[in-house]
Amino acid sequence: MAVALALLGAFVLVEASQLKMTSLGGGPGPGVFPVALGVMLLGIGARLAPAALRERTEFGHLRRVAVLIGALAAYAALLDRLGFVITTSATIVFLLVAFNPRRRPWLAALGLAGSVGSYALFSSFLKVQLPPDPWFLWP
Amino acid sequence: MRLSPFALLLATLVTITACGGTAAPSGSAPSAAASATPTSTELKKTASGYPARAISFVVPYAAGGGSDILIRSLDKISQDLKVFPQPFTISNVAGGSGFTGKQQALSKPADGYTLTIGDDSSIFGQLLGQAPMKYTEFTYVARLVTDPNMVVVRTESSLKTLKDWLDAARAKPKGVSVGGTGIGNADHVQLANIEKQAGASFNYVPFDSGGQVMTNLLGGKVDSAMANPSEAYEQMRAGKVRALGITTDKRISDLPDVPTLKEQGVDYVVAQFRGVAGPKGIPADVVAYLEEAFRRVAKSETWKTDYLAKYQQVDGYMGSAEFTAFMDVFFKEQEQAFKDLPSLKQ
Amino acid sequence: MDPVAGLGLGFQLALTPTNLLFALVGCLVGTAIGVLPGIGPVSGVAILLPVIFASRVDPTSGMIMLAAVYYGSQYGGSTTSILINTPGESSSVMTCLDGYAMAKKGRAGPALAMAAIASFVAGTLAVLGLMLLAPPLTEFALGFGPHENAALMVLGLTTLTRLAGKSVLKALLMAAFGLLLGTVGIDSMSGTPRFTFGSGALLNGFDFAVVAIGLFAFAELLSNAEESLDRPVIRTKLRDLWPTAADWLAVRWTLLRATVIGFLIGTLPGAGATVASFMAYAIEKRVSKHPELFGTGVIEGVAAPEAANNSATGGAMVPLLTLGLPSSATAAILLGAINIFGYRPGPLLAIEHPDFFWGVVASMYIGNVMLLILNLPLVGVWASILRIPYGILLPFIVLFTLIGTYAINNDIFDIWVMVAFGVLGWIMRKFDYPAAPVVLALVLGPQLETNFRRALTISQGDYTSFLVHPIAATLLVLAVLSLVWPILVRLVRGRPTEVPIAVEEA
Repeated sequence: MAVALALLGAFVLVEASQLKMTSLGGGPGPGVFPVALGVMLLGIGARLAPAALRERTEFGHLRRVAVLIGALAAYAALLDRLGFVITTSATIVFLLVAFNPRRRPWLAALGLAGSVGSYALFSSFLKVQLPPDPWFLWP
Repeated sequence: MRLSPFALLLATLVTITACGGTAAPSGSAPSAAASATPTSTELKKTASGYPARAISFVVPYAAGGGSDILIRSLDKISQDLKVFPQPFTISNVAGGSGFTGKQQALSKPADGYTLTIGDDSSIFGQLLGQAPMKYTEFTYVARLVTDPNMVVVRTESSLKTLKDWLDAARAKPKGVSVGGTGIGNADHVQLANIEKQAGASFNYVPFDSGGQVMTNLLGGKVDSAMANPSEAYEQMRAGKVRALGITTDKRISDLPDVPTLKEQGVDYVVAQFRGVAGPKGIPADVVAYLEEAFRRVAKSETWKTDYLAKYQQVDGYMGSAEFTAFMDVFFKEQEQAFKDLPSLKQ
Repeated sequence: MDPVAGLGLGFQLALTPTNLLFALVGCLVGTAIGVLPGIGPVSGVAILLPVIFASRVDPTSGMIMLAAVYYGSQYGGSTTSILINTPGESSSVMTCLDGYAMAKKGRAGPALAMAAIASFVAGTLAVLGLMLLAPPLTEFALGFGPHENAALMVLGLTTLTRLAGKSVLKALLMAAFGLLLGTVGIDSMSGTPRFTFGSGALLNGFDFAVVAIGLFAFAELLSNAEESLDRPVIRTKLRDLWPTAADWLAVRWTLLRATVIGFLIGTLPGAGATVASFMAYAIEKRVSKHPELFGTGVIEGVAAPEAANNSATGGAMVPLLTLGLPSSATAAILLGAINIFGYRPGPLLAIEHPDFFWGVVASMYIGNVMLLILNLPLVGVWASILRIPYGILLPFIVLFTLIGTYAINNDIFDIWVMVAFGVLGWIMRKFDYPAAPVVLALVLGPQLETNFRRALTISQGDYTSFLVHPIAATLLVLAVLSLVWPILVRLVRGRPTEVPIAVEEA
């Protein structure tokens, strides 16, 4: 973590060197802040790096974590093409079924109802902007 | 999840009651205004039957801002004049300096049922490389208002006239600070033009909003500021700030005591402007319908009293062809300004 | 008209049965939209303002409904902070720390109740403060220009590093990371794009709410998915729904202190409520007899930020009242609403239309009271959501998270950003890096940078100008002190200082 951020700091320094350091008014330009932050990240990151290399952590059910991240990545990729109602219901039903070994049909129905119901509540009643529905399933 | 559906149901019910509850006062409100309507014949629909349904208006800025007030006033007065069969469906899609909403409007069919704001920020955004579209990707329907700028100072400032202000900046380059709404914005370009005309050099200090500019002017953090009449009017009325000059051709009726820059020897006339635009390619008959509808609104008495005078806006109506040509000229002028004026290069 | 008579008139206008109904409806609708993660009062009101306006109600009723929506969505935001560790807006980030910790200990009820009560108490005192102190406070607020604001942000950031987590260095590193995130996008001072790598989606920078949903809510979901899913969030029985006598005793001065801090900072332009919320938290932690328990679910940790962010709302009304100028996002929205309803905000508004102005103040107050009446009975309902087995609850939190994320900017790119920050947040938890400094620095960073550069533009590059401005200089000295004070204490006491900064602050 600290190592990654130190590297990020170094990267920021390289990138920020292309920005102007002064402005016409005589004040600092857009590059000053990033450079200062790059130095901070690099400095503190390097200071913490030796300890960070010794850090160890334990992992639990990584498969479930992967499922959750994967489901949301698929969601973001498909949302534009399939519209809100279909994509969201599918994702929520999938997660409900994947994470619960029992009562799956009941939960799938609940997920569907929850997705459609929240679209009705937030988009139609409360006028929250949600992705449009390309299939015209929704009035 | 036993409770959530219940909560959803409850909220839904309440929303329905909310709609029912608010319907009552709405019935009485327009009737009073409608009686004041001049004898206007109803507009004839186009051959294809436009407008058959409500026009959806994407305001690309937050509710309560200048553009939002313009469209809401336009909606209200068009209802009074009965130029559209139904009120607009107005949605505020703010963010991204207005380009998020404009982009959303452009993604809709060019059938006249989706409209948005056409303003100078489309041009400045393109010149600064911040806009995801070109200003030519719009159909310009009608320009409605112009919004000039003023040079304002605190009432107790020692700068009494525009000449004092310019002399101070000539005597000490960058010695006079001028608050404005941001690098590359209209007021910044305008100040650069004034500098060029008058041979003076100011210290332009960019803020995030007109309100912030005014706060810092009142607090004495900047010596002067550029402000629209609508931003400064109330402060002037309260005797807290004074205007040294306005960028119009002639003095405006709301502020008859404010001299123009032109009459004080700085030959520079400019104004920001706002109008209605839609996606490129709206059919000509639909444009003609909209143009006529907006013309009627813009020439009505209610528009003058309830909108222009109330919010210190200046009438700037232009039809579609004129507005489109104006945009091209304005673009070329600004493009040149960005090339010529050294203080715009950062 | 003097404020007392004005407020009396305001209450007369506001307290009609119809208007109370509007307040009730507004509060419910606000709560409903506020439970979306990422939708706090500012965006909640921004979404619903056009809806309210479209219903063509008269101005007073409209403002009452708006105020009720405001408080409703603010409370909805606190609810998500406490129940699912997701702040509705930057001023409730601090509520997450102890609020969510309390919920995990089975004390969601007292936390939710305290959030409502603290907000009510602070709101009441803020209205009093507004009536009595507005003119002198206006001078105080106008005294804050770019120099002073930049200094205040520096003080805010140094305070921030001591709030969360065990290691100051890690917090500092996270704050620097948050500041860096804040620089992404178009630089508002020069118009130059920074760190956008040619991507149009990055031009507007990272939105606070999107990053916060990722780092808080989604990271929490990932951590829980990694552990067991079969159990409910609360394993123990819901002991009690109300704050205990000990809770009341603990917060009696907290509420007062936080209210005063919130009110004063709220009058200043800029991120008033946010800075107020964590300054209040920091002060509580400093004066507490058990500072080490902050972050593990102490009631003061909920009461302080909630009282402070609420009274900051009242403080933000000061410049609005006396000058007609907004000093915060909230005030800017109110200003927009005042405009829409056909009044012109300015120094003369409160003088020429006292009925309307004080009607607005009265309606803010009524919104606050309505919230208390409406939500205290609901505390049990909210709290018992946590008894649902996590495997069922999780997909629904995902649902609300997705809707909330999308609704912020109507942009699918934000969902990617949210997921990416969720993964990052999950890794950060594994290695004990606090998330709060990242999101708060993301909010404060642009303010610090623009004010800093604006100040130097005014003084034409003269860095010593910070020392000439007395308020700015004082704030900077305080900031330096807050960083080095613990080290000084240690040196004076002559303790061995092996890793002076890293191990400090328990």
